[in-house]
Amino acid sequence: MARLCIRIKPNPNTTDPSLDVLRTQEGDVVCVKEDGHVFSHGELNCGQYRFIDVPGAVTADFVILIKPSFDAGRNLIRKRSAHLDPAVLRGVAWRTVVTATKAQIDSITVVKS
Amino acid sequence: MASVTVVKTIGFVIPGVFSDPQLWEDGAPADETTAEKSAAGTFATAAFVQGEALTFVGSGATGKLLDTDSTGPGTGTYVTYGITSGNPAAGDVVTGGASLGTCILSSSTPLNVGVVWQGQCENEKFVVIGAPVVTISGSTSSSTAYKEITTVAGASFRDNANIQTNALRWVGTNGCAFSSVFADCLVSSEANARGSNIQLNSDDAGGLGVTSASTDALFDFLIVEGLYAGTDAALGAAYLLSNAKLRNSLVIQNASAADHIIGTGTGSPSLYNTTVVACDDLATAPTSIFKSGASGTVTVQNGDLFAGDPTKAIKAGSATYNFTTCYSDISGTPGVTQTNYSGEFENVNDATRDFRLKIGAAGTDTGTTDAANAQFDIAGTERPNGAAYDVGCWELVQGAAVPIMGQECL
Repeated sequence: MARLCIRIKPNPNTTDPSLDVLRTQEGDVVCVKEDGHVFSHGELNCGQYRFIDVPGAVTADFVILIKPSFDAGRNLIRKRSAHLDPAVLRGVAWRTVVTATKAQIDSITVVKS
Repeated sequence: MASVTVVKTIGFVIPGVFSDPQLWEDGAPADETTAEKSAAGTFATAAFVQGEALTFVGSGATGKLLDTDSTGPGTGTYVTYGITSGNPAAGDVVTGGASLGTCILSSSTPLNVGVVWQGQCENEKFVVIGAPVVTISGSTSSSTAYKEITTVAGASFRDNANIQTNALRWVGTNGCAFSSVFADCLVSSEANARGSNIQLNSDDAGGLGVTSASTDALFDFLIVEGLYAGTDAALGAAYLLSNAKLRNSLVIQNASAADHIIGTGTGSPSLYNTTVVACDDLATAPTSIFKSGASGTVTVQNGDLFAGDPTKAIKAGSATYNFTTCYSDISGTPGVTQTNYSGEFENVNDATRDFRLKIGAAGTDTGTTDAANAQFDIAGTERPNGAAYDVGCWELVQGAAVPIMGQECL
């Protein structure tokens, strides 16, 4: 089983908004962990993240969700190349979801452009 | 006003405040230069939760909890927070958005402004597939307020009881280790970022990646192993694309027939007492040690630079290179003395690699003195140990009693 840790709150750099793309934003997956990983009390309870378990999947199935993007000069241009659609995550169908299939996760994965 | 270092442990076997380096990085304030530590009292209702959103009832400011010494109602003397908006003031009731815990700020003048957001990793192996173990980016920083990733005291390979006799290479059981599969291992894309005491390994890319945005970054006491066979000067077993400093570290290129070991792009990095090598028995040695792009100035002092083939080059590209008291198996570069590879290190073959300096090595006691950048070696030995600094990341401990099997020292 893989467990996705997803940012659910805005995370702007109010001093320098140009850096927002280099920070995880709502819908971005901060990390993906295998069975047995114990998230900390703060990670579980701070309200910044939600966690979705994906039975039958492994972390390697979600590489696209944790990959940063670089340009040809190796400048980091996005902290995450893709995210889970924040509007869908907030919607009625997904709001309380704690377990999903890989197909369901794939269905709300959006590659950033 | 001085900044304050906010220490957070990172571990999942030994539970830390954060369970993962990327979650530690994500927990940093958006602006490290304006984050504040303020005196506070009247802690009530509940214990604050690391990273929760804060509201400052009174001034109307908002922020994020970074730290407090409060363990619950009735305890605590301070709160440290990143500021999202507004300006916290004396008498503000600080309220946690998740915990509903509260406290009251004692003064409008903070105790400290600016934080060093320091993550200390436990002695564990952090592995990520397809992405860096940690990507440092997105916060506003300064020379006194920045992110720093290192280890808990005692958790580094440097703290290993057998550091003087362990083979010097990436060994996951020797201390805190990062490993990335099909990706760079540690990527820094934020100015002033720092890292130390960690072993970094990538099986298909750079062990350490410092982008052009990571100006004034400082990395010390690292074991870096990478595997990058491409020709891009902005990539490598390690790449240093800014004016970053890499000190007292070991960089190993594990790819056969690689184009280069360290890529510098158009950056101007400085390397001090760093050992940069490809193992001697790779089927084909890298074409060059360094590769730059169209510009840049690369400074290398007390560098051990070995490709495993004297017909290869030390540098490629159009950067200006300044070598001082360096050694290599490749001749013909000012500031670099040619010497025999196998005479320098304990073991230069891939399977048994061990890049501790060897007794009798040419680089012994021949380095440039530089206490600012190389007071201690990768094992924690103070330089010089002998008449002068040794070249490379390892300072040979001279005159130590070395028991011969069956002849213990009395």
